[in-house]
Amino acid sequence: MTKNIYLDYQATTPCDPRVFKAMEPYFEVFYGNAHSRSHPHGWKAEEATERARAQVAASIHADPREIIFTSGATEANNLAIKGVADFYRDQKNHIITLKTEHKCVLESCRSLESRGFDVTYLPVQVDGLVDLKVLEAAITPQTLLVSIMAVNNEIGVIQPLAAIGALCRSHGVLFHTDAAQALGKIPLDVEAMQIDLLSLSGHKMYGPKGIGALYVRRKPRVRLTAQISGGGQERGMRSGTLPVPLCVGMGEAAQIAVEEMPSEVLRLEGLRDLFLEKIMAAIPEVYINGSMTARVPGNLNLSFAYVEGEGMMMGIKNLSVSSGSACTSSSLEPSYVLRALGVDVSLAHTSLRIGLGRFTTKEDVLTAADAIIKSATHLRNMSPLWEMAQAGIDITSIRWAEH
Amino acid sequence: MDRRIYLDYNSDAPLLPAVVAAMEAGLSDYGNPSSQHGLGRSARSVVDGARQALGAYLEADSDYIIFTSSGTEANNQALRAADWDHVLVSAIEHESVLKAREDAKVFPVLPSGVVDLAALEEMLASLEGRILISLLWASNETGVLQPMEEVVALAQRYGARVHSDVTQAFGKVPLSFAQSGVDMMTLSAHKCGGPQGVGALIVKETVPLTAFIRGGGQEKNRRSGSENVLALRGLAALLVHVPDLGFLAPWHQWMESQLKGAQIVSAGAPRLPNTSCVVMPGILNQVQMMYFDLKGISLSVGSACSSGRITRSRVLEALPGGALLAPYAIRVSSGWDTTREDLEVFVELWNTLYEKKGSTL
Repeated sequence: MTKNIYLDYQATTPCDPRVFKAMEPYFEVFYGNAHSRSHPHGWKAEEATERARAQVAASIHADPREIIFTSGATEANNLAIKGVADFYRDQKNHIITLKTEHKCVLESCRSLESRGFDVTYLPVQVDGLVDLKVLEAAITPQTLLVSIMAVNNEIGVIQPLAAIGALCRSHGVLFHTDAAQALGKIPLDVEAMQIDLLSLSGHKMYGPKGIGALYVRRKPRVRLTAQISGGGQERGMRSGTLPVPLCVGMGEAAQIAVEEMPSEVLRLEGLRDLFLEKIMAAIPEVYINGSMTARVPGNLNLSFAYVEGEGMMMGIKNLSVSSGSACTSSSLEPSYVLRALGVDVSLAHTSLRIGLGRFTTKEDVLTAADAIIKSATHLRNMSPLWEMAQAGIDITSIRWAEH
Repeated sequence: MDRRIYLDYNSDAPLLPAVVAAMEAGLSDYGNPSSQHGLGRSARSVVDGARQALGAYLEADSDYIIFTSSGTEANNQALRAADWDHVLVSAIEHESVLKAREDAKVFPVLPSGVVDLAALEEMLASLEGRILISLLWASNETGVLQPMEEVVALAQRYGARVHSDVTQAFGKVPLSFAQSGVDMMTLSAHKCGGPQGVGALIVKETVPLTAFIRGGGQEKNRRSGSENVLALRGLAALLVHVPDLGFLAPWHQWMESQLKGAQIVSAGAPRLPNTSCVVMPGILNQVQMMYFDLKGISLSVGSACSSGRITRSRVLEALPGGALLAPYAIRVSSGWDTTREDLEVFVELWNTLYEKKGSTL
């Protein structure tokens, strides 16, 4: 069996062995409910979660008291958006977000619409970035919150967080960013970027699944209504027993991600460029979706004209890549993110997301590029559309018979 | 830490060795269960496997098991993610039920610690619309098992639905979702030897439940968020190795009989085999806790979660007459790794404290 090459780092990342190592003692030797105040079993657990909290805080230049652990970025995004909306609902009722946000942001906004909120889903430019003028024009006196992701999960583009933060602050609007795909890939500084709420995910940064965090600004204080009520853990903002080993893993993962970012970014850039050059040199009509300048180095999203994405997936079985974001990849709908960029439906269907990460090697990307080139060439050779295109027929001008 | 005696299993239990082994074996696995490629599919099979194992263990249709991040989240979803006109909760629920809705109506318990069925019926008779009753299977503080069969029968007479938080009973006493007749059940894995960070809400097909955490549409659109694959691996292992805790019942009986001057809360009611809520009149529970802690025993006053404060037992205060006992009550909860000797040491220390108290008074 040929070795499987994992190139789906935006769907999830392998847990770093150093992260396991930090977590392991908390599975076996130390147990205890971090909220038990009356005995050392509980204290030890609390000490561990508080250390992890400090690590997460440090990774985004926040205070540990501003970090709320959640079960993941999905929950953090739900809490940020619905929590703020619930708390301030008597004051303002308008939310601005992007059409290319992760589903959990879009769905949270939709659920607020059904409860009387106005939501503006802003378009993005062809490169996937928000147009700041369009954003500013969308802000009204009723605008409570702007939720714009730091890094897109499908196309890896980096939104101008500092500019958005400054804009929001000057209009008295709260700024939330889903940074699940961002930590360890771009510098995050909640002070410099004037971010009020920021969501993180453990398993997108070489930590465990089942854990995430929400940063909630204390000065000036951002309030939110808890979405999961109960024992009042996490300063009353999120109830539920904290999973100690997972918190420890997340803290360690955050620290490593930030420490290694400078060298990792350069390394991945090198690998990505190598991969891309090889593909581009070998196959014509490959299109890059999303900006190549404002983009994390570990992501590529390519459309291979005349090559159906699902067919390609079958042809490159030992590559783990994705033809859309993981949450929607079980459906065959073309990616809504690519559609928002104005990518034609047929081209959207030919897209592959290639995610590189910490354990990707030069050999991996070379082998992957070969496999993709081989498969794309093979599929095109079988494609009547490709044949027609080669013969100079403009496919889009053909009027297909209805049936 | 090694030599300490842990008698706070109702707050968190040490992982079963089989759970540790399963999770360690899976530590280096990765893959998002929603991804189509081989690694994604193999993560998916872990999630599906855990779901089927839980379905089989609880005699529930695995298609109607929603994995959540905790029992707290599952309770919130059960009470809030459906259009209930009235939600009735018992006075001794976990805070995640009590606080899930501001408009919940509270029904009382009898001095025995068992739910007051007559009061519940009176409440049901006065209400119309879609009604949900939420009653825990076993109290986290006193261990009292509730007469669920009668509650379900009563609810059915009034067309109400029943939700039960079985977090403290799961893995400690036999449970069957199908036979219980309840419409929804909440559980958490970490009170009986499974991992923290995973819970479940089991629903009957006919319950009109919607999503609570929204997003990628995982869990059949009823709970979004990438699944906690590692913890689900642990849960699956737990289900294969659920320990029989029956051995604890006679030990607790023995312990309760040996404690000098102790009042056992809800002694007459059917209880979990591992929980004793004991009162030493005259010595505040904070003092008792400090004493036991210094002597190397970890136990607690009650529910662990009360935001970092050692508060008085809310459950006890809900018992008629319980408010007088609450300041003096502690909870002794044991589990799979408890030895008879652990309880003997506790008895000895208790009796020493009791005698000391007599000498100073």
